[in-house]
Amino acid sequence: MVFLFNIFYQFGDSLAFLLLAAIGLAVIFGMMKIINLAHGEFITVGAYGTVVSGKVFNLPLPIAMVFGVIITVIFGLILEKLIIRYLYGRPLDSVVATWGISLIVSQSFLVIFGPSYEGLQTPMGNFKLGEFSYSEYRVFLIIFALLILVLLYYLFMKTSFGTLARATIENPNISSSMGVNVQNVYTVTFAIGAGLAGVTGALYAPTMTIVPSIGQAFIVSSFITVVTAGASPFVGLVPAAAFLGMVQTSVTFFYKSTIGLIAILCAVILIIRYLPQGFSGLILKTRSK
Amino acid sequence: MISNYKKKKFEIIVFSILLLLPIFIDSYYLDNISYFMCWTFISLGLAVIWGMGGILSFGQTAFFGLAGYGFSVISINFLGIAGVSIWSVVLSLIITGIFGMIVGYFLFYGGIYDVFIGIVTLAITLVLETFMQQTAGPEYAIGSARLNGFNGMQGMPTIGFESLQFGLLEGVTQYYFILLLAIIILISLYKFKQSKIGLVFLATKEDRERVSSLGHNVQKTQLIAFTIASLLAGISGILYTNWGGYITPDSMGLVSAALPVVYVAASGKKDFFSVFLGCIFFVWLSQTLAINGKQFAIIVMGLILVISTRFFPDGIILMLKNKLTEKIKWL
Amino acid sequence: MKKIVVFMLTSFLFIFSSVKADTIKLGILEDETGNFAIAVVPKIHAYELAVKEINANGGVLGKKLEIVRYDTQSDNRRFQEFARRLIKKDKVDVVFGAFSSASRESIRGIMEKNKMLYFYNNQYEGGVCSKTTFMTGAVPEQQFSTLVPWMMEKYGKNVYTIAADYNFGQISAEWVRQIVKENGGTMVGEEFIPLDVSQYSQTIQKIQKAKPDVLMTLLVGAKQASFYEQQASAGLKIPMATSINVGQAYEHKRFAPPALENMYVTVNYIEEVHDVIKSGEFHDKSKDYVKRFRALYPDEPYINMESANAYNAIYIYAKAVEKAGTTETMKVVEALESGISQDGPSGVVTMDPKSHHGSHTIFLIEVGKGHKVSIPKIWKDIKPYWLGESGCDLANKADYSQYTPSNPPS
Repeated sequence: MVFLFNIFYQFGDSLAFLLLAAIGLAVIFGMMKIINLAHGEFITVGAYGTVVSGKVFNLPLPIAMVFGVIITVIFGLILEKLIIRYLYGRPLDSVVATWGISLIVSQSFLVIFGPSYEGLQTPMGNFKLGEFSYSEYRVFLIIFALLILVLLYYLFMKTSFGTLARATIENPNISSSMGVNVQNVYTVTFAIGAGLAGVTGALYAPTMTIVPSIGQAFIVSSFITVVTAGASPFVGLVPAAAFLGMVQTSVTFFYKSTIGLIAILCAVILIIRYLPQGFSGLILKTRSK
Repeated sequence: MISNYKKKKFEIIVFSILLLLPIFIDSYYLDNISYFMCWTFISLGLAVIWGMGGILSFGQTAFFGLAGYGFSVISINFLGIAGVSIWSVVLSLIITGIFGMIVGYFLFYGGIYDVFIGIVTLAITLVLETFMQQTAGPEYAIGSARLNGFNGMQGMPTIGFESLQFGLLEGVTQYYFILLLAIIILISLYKFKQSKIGLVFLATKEDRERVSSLGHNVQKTQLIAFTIASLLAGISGILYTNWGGYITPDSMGLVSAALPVVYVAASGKKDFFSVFLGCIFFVWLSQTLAINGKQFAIIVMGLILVISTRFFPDGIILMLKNKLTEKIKWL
Repeated sequence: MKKIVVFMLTSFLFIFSSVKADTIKLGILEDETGNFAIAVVPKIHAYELAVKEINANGGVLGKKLEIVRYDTQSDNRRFQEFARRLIKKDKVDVVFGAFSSASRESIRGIMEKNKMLYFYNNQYEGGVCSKTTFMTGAVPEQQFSTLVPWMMEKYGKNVYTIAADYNFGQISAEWVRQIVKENGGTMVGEEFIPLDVSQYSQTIQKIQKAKPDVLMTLLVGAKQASFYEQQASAGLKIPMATSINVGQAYEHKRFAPPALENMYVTVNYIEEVHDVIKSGEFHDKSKDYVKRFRALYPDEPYINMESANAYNAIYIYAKAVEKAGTTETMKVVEALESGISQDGPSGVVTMDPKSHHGSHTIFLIEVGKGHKVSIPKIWKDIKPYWLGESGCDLANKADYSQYTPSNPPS
């Protein structure tokens, strides 16, 4: 029983990390095709937004987290207006611009807040099972990650906004001729993506060291998860994260984390090779059969 | 042929300046420019596959690192044998080329396209970095060469002919060697671009299927271009290792992997010469900013990159070059 | 385009600086920005403090000291570029600097080829045996031969190590393993973790399963430091011991309690020394150092152990030059090999002629409830014995290598 729970806890923890790392990027890169190398910095903004607003205004953590997310959305909107909107349809140029943004943001945080900011304590407590003890907040993260994914799936696959957004990004010309304000759809979608990265930053802020490079811890995981999820990210994210998480946890369990890290990267290479449409392609194919 | 050179007046003038430069500047600055030029080849390789064929690779650094480590391992193992520094360069380039072909085969014959190539190549370079970082222990040695993990390898000989007292470590010889190498490679790349394979490769960027239906072997063309790119990255790796007498896993990491992409895109990926010049310019700029800019150096660098993509989508150096040749008639 | 070329050329011409012969030039390469900045900025300020003090007292050999410093941005390539610049262009007399071992190794070769005197002033994995290089920071035999037996005595003999999976972590873990064995203890587990890992649930469970009495946490960098918050929230509650935290990046001040509670660290200095020790030699010296430091840099967030090493390094160099009567590298090396001492912020540091490392006072720091610091034990004059005993004898035999316990000088 304890053993089974341990497996669930370890695997779930890894799953939650991959999912939450990927959610913002799933919108910005998965849907909008912008290679956002500044994704990590969006997460940084969310984390600093949470911690700094919590400290300065003495807010309780959940409210500080909401603040963090709002700040990231505003940050995303500004960026969209100034830079990103000139990059739609030029996905490869987005590499340079977002790399530049990433340099500016992480270095600005260093200049403004110094090399490190006082961290927060992880909320909730811990519980025991046999000889093991667990952080309650970590269990919450697992549940929350899955919940937010269900919400996103609903938003982008079931609501009229979702259909509009997907259609517009798929074919902006037709949407435009049908009277859709393409620019607005792009802006809102980008802001949602930024906000989701902010959610990730806010949620992980109390569990990590608050440094200007905090977001960079997520960047590799986020890209590999989104890519293995495939063309329809909200369908493919959970199986992709589950598969990668399983590879990582089991290899780390039997060998060591370095090999676990290498294994997850190799798994991505093989998935792209043998499942070019990613997990969402696989699911949609089996569903249509 | 003559008209060809007429079109390249700008290039010829810049290279003439570079060829005469050692008369005017002292050894430190000369060495520094040699160092900047070390980085041009990896970027030129990327310009081949990305600029011509539309294949974005984040994996150039994998070949850079492989060649650097290959050169180090081979030359350290056969230290003292005549001409070791020369043939270990050749051997490590052969290894790099073979690795490039294997990766290219996997990619193009495996039906991997577009952004997926970027992710696969990124994963490859990160695997190499992660593995090399933890090779500090004595069990990670190839012959007498310890890989030495994160701290990096040292102790490789300088490229050159020891018996002739001709070394490539620094000074005018290194400068001219790298400069001439760059000129030869640039001319070869222009020739490649105009060759049949080059034209087919250019066409694959627009429409793979149509090119294929015309009876051209798309995969083979892409594989050739990718191998050329990996060799160019390898040349940079060896020159860099030789310059500093040092190679680390760091040079295959995420930041290193992104830099060539950024330099190529910001310079103008469609024009080899702009990439060559732009790469020198950006490496110089980031160094100069680090010297003078203090903690704002990185912010300024970021701003320059953002502004240049925002306003000069084809690359800032290519734009400047075109403006210049337009304005000044005799160019 | 031409403009840029012209600009490049003119800027090259402008940067030509006239070399003044009446100063001694100290080249400094430290990471003012980038990942390591947090622990390095106090070092930079310590160099400046020492130079200012020496200049106020008339300089060295009647000449003033002059700092030529570049920000290496925690990037090994910058280290290489600027090392050459210091040697070739600025023509400095000595180079101080580097935080990470990789940065040190990236420039050590350049220093040695150019016969440039080089001071590395950082706690590190040990083993550098190089004729022209001097190390003023603490090494594993100083930090672990004290810490590990004390922890085993107090908490028990079952030790578990988690370490960063690269040179520093692996070599440090090797030291721990050896010392645990020598003291009749058992290694109940060992895990090496890549520098990029920031999530530790699996590691924490592995540790709980092994039930160690002592947990050695040889974790490096901001990502790995996240372990502490995560182990606290999971309720791990096993006494931790390390050689790196607190003393460098003052995690006990930056993290919310109880992340670091119940942690023990061996350091050769931290700024709380004079607050905890109420009187005596160590109280006076630390208090005096902190007072002078804060007079110059009132906003310094923390005065860490590497600042003391950097401060000592400048004084040790100045004394050696004074003794040699010249700044010529080999003459100064000879003077440094005569057993030069410096009475610094944490007592006397003496350079070992054989290995070029310094002896240290080692303080055992205990991080208690609410991250309150106490010092249960002080070891005086701990010598860097290992390299000298295993065959590194630089005063008599030039060498330019780095050794490890499993790969000693033959």
